[in-house]
Amino acid sequence: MERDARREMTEPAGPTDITELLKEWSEGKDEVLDQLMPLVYAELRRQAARHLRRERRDHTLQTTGLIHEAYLKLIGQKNVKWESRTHFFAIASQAMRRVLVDYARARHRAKRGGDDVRISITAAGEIASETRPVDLIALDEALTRLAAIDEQQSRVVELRYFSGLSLEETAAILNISRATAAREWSMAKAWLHRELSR
Amino acid sequence: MDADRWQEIKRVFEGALDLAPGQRLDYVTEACRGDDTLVQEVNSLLRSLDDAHSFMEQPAVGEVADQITASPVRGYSKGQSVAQYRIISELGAGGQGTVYKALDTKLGRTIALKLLPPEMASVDDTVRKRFRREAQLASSLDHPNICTVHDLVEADGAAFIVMQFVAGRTVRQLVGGHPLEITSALRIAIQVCDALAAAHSKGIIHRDIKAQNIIVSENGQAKILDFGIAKLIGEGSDGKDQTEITALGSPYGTPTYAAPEQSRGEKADHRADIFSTGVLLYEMLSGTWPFQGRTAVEARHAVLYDEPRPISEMRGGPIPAKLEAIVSRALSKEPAHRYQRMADMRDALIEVLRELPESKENSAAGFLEGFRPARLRHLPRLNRKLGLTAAALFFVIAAVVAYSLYSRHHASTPIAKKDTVLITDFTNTTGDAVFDDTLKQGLAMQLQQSPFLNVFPGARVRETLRQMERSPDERVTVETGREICQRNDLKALIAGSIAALGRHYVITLEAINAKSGETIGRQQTEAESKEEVLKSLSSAASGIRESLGESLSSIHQSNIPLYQLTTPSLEALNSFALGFDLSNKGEYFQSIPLFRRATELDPNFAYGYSLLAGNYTIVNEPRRAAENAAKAFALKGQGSDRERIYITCIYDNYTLGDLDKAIEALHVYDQSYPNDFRVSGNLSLAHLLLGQYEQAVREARESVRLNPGISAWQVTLGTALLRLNRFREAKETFEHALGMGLHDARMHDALYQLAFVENDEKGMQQQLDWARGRPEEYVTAGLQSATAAYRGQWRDSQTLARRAIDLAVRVDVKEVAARYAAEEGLRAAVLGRCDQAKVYAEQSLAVDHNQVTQERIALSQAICGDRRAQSSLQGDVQQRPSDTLLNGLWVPLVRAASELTDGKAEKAIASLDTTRTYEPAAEFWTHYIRGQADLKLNRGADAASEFRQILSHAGEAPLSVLYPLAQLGLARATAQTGDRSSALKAYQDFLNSWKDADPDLPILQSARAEYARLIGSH
Repeated sequence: MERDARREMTEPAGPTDITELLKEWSEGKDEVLDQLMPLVYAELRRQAARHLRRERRDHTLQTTGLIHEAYLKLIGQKNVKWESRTHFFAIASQAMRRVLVDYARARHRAKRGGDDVRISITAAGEIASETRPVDLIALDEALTRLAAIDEQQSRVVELRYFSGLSLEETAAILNISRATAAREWSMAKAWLHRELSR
Repeated sequence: MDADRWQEIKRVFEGALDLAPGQRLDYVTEACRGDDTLVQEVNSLLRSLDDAHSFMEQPAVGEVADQITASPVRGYSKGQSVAQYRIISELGAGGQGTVYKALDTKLGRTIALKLLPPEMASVDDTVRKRFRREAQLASSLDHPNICTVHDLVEADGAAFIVMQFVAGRTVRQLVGGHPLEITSALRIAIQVCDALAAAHSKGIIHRDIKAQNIIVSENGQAKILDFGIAKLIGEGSDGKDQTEITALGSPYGTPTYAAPEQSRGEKADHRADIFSTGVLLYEMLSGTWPFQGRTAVEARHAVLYDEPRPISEMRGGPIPAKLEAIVSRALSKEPAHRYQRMADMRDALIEVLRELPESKENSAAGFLEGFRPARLRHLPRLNRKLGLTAAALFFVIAAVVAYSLYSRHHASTPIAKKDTVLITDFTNTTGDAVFDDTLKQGLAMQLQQSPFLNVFPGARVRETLRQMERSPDERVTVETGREICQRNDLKALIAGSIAALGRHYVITLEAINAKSGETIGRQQTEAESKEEVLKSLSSAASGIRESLGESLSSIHQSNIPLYQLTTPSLEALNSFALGFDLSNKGEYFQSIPLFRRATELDPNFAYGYSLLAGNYTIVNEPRRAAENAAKAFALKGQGSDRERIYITCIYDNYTLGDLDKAIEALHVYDQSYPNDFRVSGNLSLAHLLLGQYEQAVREARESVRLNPGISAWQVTLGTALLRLNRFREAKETFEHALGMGLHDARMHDALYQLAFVENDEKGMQQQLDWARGRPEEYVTAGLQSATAAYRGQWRDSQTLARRAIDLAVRVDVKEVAARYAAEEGLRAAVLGRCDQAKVYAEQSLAVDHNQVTQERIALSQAICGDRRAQSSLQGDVQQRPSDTLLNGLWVPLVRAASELTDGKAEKAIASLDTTRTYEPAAEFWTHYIRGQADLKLNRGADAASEFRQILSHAGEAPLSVLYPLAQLGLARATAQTGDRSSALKAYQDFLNSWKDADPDLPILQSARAEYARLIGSH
């Protein structure tokens, strides 16, 4: 995270660079991902931080909104071709996963540090009445194991869960049918849930 | 799991999904074709899916947001108002409530508002009061590293803490799971330690030091938050400590940071803060906690029983062994094994910081290294020296206050290097003369705080200009400044300028390499108005310190802004600066009105009052000095921990006049904070007062070596030498000091006395000439009056005394006038003119009064057999019950004198048994009374020995009338023992001393008769 934080400090690359990198990546140049990812990560982190710090009483926070904002910031309005947007989301979902898991880790550390013991008790009490909180750190680890068995399923989870995309959007980005996307999502969910319940 | 197996599972699972739940089981069994493991696997996944319900239904971001935002019980949003505070924005939420940035609409300032959780808001009044007191006490320290708490307010059913708004990030945010740079960690920790040390000295314990309670501003200044809050949540209504008051509260600090004794719920003292600071430091250095646990209970268990892993291991990189040892010591389970004082831990950390190979401290050394290790330090001309009076006690107080305000922290870091820079005169193009000397003086005071820098004293600048055959008052330009630097081996100079820019002012400071003329660093600040100029100057000065290579931590530890150190009023500072310079030269009659004006312009100008007190002491006005010293004390409020300890011990002792204890305390202080040059100055003065002249010389030499430009210490040194009959050295000291351009009247006073002892009429006349027409002329008039009395010219003495009294009243030094009257009365008494003594006593009391005049009046009453003598000193004794000289010398002296007058010679001698320690300070009185008593008892040999003591120590009181009277006493004593030749010689000496005496003096007539008899008896 320190490394990433430092990247965040550097000047963001201009829109042209990002578009170029995205194009290269879509053409199969996997190595550009190393350049692309930090930029996207940094931007998402900024956006997420901005939103998360705001009090979220209305629960309307949309991940896609975050990614769109990051996209606009990085690519700019003028180049909103669906194709590049697709590529962007593919990357953004991975970056978003890292952003959020890092958040969760930070919170976890803070809890262990003792500071937030008090908060978490309150928080847990409130949340328990609705939904059980998801252990994002454990989920992240399980998802990595899943990717080793079924790469596509893990990508579906990243896009759906971490990027908040719909099944349609997910299907479009992965270039699969909606039905396939739905089946992959269900199985991944079942498998991950079981992993986390163990 | 291999890919094929996964595909099989996937195929069966997906097939089942397409079916209704009731049909799935059969389908799976069939589709798996007897592969039981596969059946189990698929069924378990299907069950899992059924159970998953809402699992992952809400996107991850919602999950995180929930966790982050779930805590606040209630919130306020922008624009809402709570009492007089308007919410600007939310700063963050934590275990102890949500913090908002808000505007205080009444006071128009931005503050931070902490909304306390309900369980903290519902505490009862006792606890709330205690919190208020602690928070206020901590805030009153006004320490740069403590966040000020303004108030605790209650509004619409909630409680809020109103505190100083500090922009920055908490240490928790800075760390974020990763180790900090060692230097950053050290700088933060040192500031935290310094603040806590200050709090501890006031008896305030924080109890909840943790990463979230330390905010670090962008420029690296650390502030401790939440003083008093631990107390607020930690104690129940009965005031007794409780272990866990609510499920939410962890009263004994936060588990991970709490000391073992806190974890056990035992009473914790300041060493608990030392432990918590150790945890904080560990966290900054390693990125994680020394004691961890998933729950509060686990964390407490770890605190109690676990030993932390080495930091280097957790950090994944080496750290200095010393640093590891410091943390380890702070984290000792047993309080007694930790540092016992926060200041010790701080100093140990500073040591480490200093020794770091790549630290900024060393790059600082890079620039400063080549500097001659000069120890010179220009100090405020606080003249910790007095004339001959115990009144000087107040001077010491003033000096102490002044130093504390002036150069606090200057030696709080054990940085040995002290290098000197020259400040040139400011280029002032604003056309406003108020800036002329003010900014230079202000900059000097601001820079003096640095442990790295000394400012080349103005007296030395003038001296060098003289050597350069230029006018000593010439303006010091960069060009001239470079030459002065080279002559004095200074490496750098700082040139400043101020220019008007519309209504704004632009202040520029430039540090220049004296040899090459190259710019080392440049700072430019803009002030929006004249009132802001001092603030801007302060910030530019900090910048210059940094560009000279001083570390940020060092700067932050010794960087009280000028307006706080002195005054926010430019006019007041201007008066002060002018007065300061004149006071340095010894021109007290010019400096006093300026200091007075400065304190009128800003009645809270503590430093102004303390210098005024110092000046009053020098001109022998102890009562006025006391009044101003008291004002300064009431306003001190900004010293560091160390200064407070220093002030407290010295002030308590000196105000009580307990000099023995004062010396002891100074030595103890010296052990804790060695090389503090103030110690030598104060010690020399205390020894001088006590008549311990050898020690006084030793200490004064040290103080003069450190600060040659201060006339006060030169006077202390010269006076101590004079007391020891080391006349030549004394004369050299005074002449050298005068040669430096100092004009202190007391130097002329002492030179007159030196000339008198050496029978140098011309020398005496020179000093009289010096004083003629000056406001200080009363000084030489007083000397002339004493001289005439010494010679037995009593009528002349009285005329001269009247003149001295008049002159003193004319220049408004009424306490001096009162003293002259009292001294003349004492002479009258000893010369047998008790009627006159009584008149002088009345006159003295009519003019003014202080303890010095009272001591003399009481003694003259005793000699004249006045019954009121004993009760005369009662008031002073009650006020100063442990005053060393009053109780050890004056009270028994007055008693002995009464007894002698009553004819109880044996008793008188016995009464003086206890005074021997202070005899050198008694201006011959103990020897004289003892000698007279021995004569009465026919113990000629003993009497002779007493009188010889007087005659062999002329320097102790060269103009005392007791000196010629001791010649007479010796004559009578030796006559008693039958030593005729000694007696004859002694009579001749006396009659020679009194050859021009008033012929009608009874003592002279008796002496002549005795002498005639002695001659005739042969």
